[in-house]
Amino acid sequence: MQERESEADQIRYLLQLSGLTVPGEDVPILRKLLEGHLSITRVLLEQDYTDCVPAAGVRWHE
Amino acid sequence: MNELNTLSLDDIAKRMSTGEITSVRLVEAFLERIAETEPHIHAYAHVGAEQALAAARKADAESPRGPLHGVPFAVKDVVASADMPTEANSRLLRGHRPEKDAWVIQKLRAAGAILIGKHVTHEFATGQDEPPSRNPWNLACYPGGSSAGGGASTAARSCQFALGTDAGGSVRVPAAVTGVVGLKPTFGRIGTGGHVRGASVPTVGHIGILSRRVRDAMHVLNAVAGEDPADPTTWLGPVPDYPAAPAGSLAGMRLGVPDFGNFGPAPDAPVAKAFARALDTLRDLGADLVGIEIDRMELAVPAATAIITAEIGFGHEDWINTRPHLYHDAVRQFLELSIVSPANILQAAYRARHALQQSVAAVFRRTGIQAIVTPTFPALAMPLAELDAEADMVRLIQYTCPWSLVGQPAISIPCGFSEDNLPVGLQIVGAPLDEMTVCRVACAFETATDWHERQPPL
Repeated sequence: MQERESEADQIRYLLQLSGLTVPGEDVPILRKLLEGHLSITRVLLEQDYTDCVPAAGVRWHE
Repeated sequence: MNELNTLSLDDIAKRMSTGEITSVRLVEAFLERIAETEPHIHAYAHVGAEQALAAARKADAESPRGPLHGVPFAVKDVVASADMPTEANSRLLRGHRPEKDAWVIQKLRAAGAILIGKHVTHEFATGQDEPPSRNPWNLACYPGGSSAGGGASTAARSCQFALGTDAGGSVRVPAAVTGVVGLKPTFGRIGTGGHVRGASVPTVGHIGILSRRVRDAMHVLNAVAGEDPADPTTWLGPVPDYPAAPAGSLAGMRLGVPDFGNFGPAPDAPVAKAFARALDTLRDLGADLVGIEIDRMELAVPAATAIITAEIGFGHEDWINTRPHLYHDAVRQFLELSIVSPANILQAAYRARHALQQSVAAVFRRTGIQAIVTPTFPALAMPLAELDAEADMVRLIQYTCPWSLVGQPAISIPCGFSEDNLPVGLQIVGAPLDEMTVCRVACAFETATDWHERQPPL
């Protein structure tokens, strides 16, 4: 429950920061998209990335 | 349809060398085919008939430069062209004329090829195209995307070959559902300099090739591979001579066959059936098929989704703020999502990509495989009326996005048809920079089958 509230807070915060809405005002479609995005990508935050490089690009040919 | 629309690049070069055909006649044949098919498939955003014919007359007056000399091609309309509009299917770019050609177009023109037109793309290579391009095998069906016009046009024989872009499968998926070849080489093998603003995803975006035969794609790759001064990720080393890949038997070659469960939901029955037959053909050609499992493959779709979502928004901020009404709603909403997508997820996605690269490399090392084979697309082309791009996204890219994400070369080739005559694609994935093996396997399969010879009823 705590986690769900935290994610809802994050969504509210991101929407406010974006400038695409104003504090206290909802943007239903963007909110829905953001919820979907966080739902698909949540697994990425649950991994152990020891030894993984946060590379911004892929370069196989060092 | 004219016979000239069906030739291979090797056949064209041979006939041009004997004077049997000219570039002008070839360009005219493709312009006629465009006029014949466009009312049905809507694959072209722009056709440059006058420019193409002028270039053809010039080509006929020159000595042949190679297998692309005098041959017409088309490019997805997110790639800059100096003599035709480049509009990315967006009202924001209506009438946009870049000052110079993208790197790949410069390379193709230098090889003697002739730009005949620009292919329809989804708006900024995302969302949808309206009106949609149509699949020549069934005009009610999805032709793939976002290089929507490229697959449809190549299948309909209204271009000899095409260039598209592929960040999650946008060359290979159109190829699979329209029954043509789609080659996405290693990240950095083809320079991406010249993408229009707002249609680029810098760490997963590739230029890819659509053609009707594998050898045609190899000839095109020869012309466009190599260093692009505007793209710091391009490979600086020598470019192999791809058409010189050994032909014939695959004896001694080890090919990895991943468990379907590695990639999410299983493919639909007609795809699974065609894929099983394709494995039999590869076995008959002498390949050893090895079952493999790739750790962390379940991270591919989330990581690709996170990266594409975050990277596509760059360049749109002021348009979103000042001219939001010029986007289609779904595209604007996706770009707004890009602007608010959290940076911590993007950072995790970059790390997940590296983890997956390590997993794939470990499988190649541990099992001794030289390539991996999968279906390209888990379903047949679905009716356009039933397509929900947002809801279906994960399934649309489940077999293709892992390889854009990790940057390994992959090709889709036709490997069968359903009972209702819709094509199925086989994907072959190689080790980094090993397009040669990918093309060798694809060529052997193509030579042993005749799926690529089938023509849509158009």
